[in-house]
Amino acid sequence: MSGRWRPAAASPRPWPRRWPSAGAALALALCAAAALAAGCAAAGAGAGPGLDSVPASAPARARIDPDAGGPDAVAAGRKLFLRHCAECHGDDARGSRRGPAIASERVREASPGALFWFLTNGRLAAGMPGWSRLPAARRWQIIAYLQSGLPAADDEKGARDAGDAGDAGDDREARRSNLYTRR
Amino acid sequence: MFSVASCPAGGRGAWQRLAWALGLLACRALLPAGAAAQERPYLITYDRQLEEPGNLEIAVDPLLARQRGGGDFLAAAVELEYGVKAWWTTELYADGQATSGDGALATGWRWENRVRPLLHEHLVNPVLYVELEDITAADKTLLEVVGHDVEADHAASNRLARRDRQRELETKLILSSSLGDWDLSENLIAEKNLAGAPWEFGYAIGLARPLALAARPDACSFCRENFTAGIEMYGGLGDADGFGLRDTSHYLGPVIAWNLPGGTTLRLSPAFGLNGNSHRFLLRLGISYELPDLANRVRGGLPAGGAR
Repeated sequence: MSGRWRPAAASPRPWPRRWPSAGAALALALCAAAALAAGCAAAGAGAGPGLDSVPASAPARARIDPDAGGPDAVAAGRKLFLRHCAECHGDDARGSRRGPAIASERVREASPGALFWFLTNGRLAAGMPGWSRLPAARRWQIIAYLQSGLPAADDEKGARDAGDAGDAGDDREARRSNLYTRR
Repeated sequence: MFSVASCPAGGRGAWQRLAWALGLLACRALLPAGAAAQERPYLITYDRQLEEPGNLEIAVDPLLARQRGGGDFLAAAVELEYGVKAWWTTELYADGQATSGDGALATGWRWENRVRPLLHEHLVNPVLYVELEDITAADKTLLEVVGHDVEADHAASNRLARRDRQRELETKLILSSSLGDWDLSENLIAEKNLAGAPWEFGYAIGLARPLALAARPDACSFCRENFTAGIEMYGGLGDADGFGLRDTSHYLGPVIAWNLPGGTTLRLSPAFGLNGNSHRFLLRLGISYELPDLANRVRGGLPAGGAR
């Protein structure tokens, strides 16, 4: 409610103004229960390593990129990647301390349908949000860009270059481990 | 509709501060340094999208309302929304209002949490919402309409209404679905005054779609792909002692959001009262700006890949 005013004379009973301990306990219990429920779900869903978590039976695996070969799909996908993904995965898709490298052979060779499923669902337990908020056409454009032949971070030179760009050893480790996409 | 000159000195100061805050946020929209999330267009209805982990969103949501039997008012909530995890978002609100001819005041705070219990997309995606509120009856942000909330509640003078302190627990079951490229979200609200009033109920429903589905290859700000438009409806459903539509208020209006590439989102929703208990007209605005990777910024670090 917002702004409802109960004139004292019209109130059926006076409401006490201090925190009732039972009410506060109920509120805290509900918060804790909600967090626990989400935490349990997260623990259960976090076992799959990246693309391997895409269910084999997911119809998404069989879906075909509706914009495959479109002349602007890669350029538009790059723009979308820089806008929505580079914040975590780096401008060159080679990863940052917030997210792993996705410029990799594994991503290039993955089924577009599997990538679409993964991009749509994310991997919430590992910090990767789902991008169902983007229309399907834009998710396909991002996939077209990712599979367009980005220099892979998992080749030796790419990893070294990416490492030089960073300033912490754990960054390089995060890139190499390729959390979402490791084989 | 509003006259600053009619406000007492305290009210004028609040209006000026609010105008400054809105101006600063509007200027900030021109600087391309934030995180460009795709924000929901709704101003009342929640969908399943949570804040990205580590990001902080700062928002101001002003509301202009016509008031029968009292002064028209401007209410606003300042929001700080933080993505704790990809499945958990927490948000702090500070509410205030200025009523024409009746001054301005802060009206309280709210702390909300939203969690996604299911981590994959489904036909219907639930989100659990729990909020604690410590506000006064002078709060006019109308961030939710529940129970028997009606327009006449806002006609009381600020001097009297501010004395009535309300500590409440608000819960929502947020259900959100993708119907093609449309988003359909429904919120079922149950709110309890912790001092002992009966549970109050309400609803909010939103339907929205981007104006363009595919992105253009070139950078653009004022292009269809950056706009999302839809409609939302919200209102009260009575309380545990009298569930139903009797003595409730309801609103319906279009919503439009403009997601700027720099991380700023502007939202607009004129809403119209659907019955005699409702305000005839509400104009809601929203300005939000998203700061990426707050934790590392606080620690002085920046993502090696470059924050956007």
